[in-house]
Amino acid sequence: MQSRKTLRTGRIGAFATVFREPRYIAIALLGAIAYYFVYFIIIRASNYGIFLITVPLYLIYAIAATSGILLALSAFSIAKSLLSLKAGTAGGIASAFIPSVGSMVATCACSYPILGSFLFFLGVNAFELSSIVSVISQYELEATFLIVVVNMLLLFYYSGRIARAEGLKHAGKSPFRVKIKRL
Amino acid sequence: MASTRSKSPRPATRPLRQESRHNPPSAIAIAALILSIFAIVIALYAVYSSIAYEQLNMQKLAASTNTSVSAPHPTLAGIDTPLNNTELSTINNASDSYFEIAGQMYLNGSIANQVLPNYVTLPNGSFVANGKQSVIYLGSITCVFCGENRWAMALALSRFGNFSKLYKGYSAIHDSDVPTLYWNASNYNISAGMDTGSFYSSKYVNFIPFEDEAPITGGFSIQPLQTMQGFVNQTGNSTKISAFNFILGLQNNANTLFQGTPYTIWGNAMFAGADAVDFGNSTPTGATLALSSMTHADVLNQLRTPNDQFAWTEYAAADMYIAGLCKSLNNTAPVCSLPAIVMLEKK
Repeated sequence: MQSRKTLRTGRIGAFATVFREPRYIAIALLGAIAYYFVYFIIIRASNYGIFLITVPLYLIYAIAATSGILLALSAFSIAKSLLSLKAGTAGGIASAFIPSVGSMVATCACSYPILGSFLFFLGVNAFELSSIVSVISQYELEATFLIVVVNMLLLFYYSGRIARAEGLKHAGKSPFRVKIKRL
Repeated sequence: MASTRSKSPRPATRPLRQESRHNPPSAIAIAALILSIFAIVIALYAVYSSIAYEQLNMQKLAASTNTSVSAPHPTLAGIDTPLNNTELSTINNASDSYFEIAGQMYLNGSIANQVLPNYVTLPNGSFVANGKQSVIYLGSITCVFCGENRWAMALALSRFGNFSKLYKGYSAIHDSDVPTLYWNASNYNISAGMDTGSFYSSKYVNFIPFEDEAPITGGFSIQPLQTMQGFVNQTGNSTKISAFNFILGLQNNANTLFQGTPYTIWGNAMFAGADAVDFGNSTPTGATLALSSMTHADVLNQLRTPNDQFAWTEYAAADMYIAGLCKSLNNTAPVCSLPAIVMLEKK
């Protein structure tokens, strides 16, 4: 009789669980490539068709890579229903939102038509926009680095949730089980 | 009555029989973690290298500003050095034929670089001071597009007046460090400032430049409009204050919003951005700009005897500004009668 085995999953185990399936590796890779192209297109559109970046290129690579991995974790959690649909979707949205924000920061150069249009759409006026751009331009490198850190924290968070949910599942418990006091 | 009911012994909670098998992480999972750690290391290295590069540039700046030391490009060699008479003559005495040829090249599609004749006619008229139309420029010494566009601006303005002085400058080191012209000797290593001076005179137009100043060894940087206004107000110059207020007044119109530098007004024509993208003989495909490898002498030599796309694009970009201004001047300046300018005005 095969006893139930419990997969003692930590965060490393969560990654192991996710990337054991080739489709999630593909999702991570394709997501990273897609997010890099988001950067590429937005930066070119803001700089008269020139890929003119003002932050180190490897930071952009780091954002694209971590966002791709985050997308894979989110897809896994939704597919396996490990977390609530809302939580898994939030991770997927975050993985897409963060590169978009990063591209706005990285493309904050002399001309910022896309960032300006986006902020005007949100109701920011020209004076407020110039103040925002002034701050972004001064702390562009730090802001881009912070975006990488945020992605890493999200990876840490979602891998932990997947690990806990996987651990509960293999222990025969529902990941949504509420603790019931035994009297 | 006391309860005699005895509690039934709680059934022993059967511990879960857990047979834990520790599954070591797969190679793929380890690779994914390594990738993430790599991303952190790269990010940390990027910050470190930027700090180190900044320090190195400060050392180079200190060396290059020593007039007895000639530092090679792409450092800030010769920054704030006035153009000599020969160099100034390249701008002031450029042949009208160059403007005509470049204009015809643009009209027949022979210009390889982007020339962007997209200007907006100001809805409430132009800024007039001392009975003259005005050319108002708002830019930043740290801005790479301002850097490449000042050559075309200087050529355009030379058709309506004369520069007694121009200065050698650069865009920010972390913003491609292209050689450019400054309208005035710039404070390129102060934390924040505004330069509003120039050595331009004309009987047709006022030239009112507003150049945001920030450390040239950094990246692109610009002050908020309100901060710039504060600097301008400190000048006490009523024409400059009014001109900047004119710019601020345009921010209520969606078509004339300030969305980056350069932001120029040529009479009744407002150009939101550079009117050409001229970093070499063709539009760059990557982040490497040919112009950043050129010296001021290289640029001036090409403008003196234009025979490549870079030079012709500069003259074509100047033609766009000239055409925009000529409309406001009712074509009173001689350059406005050039056939190419006449055709550009009609476009």
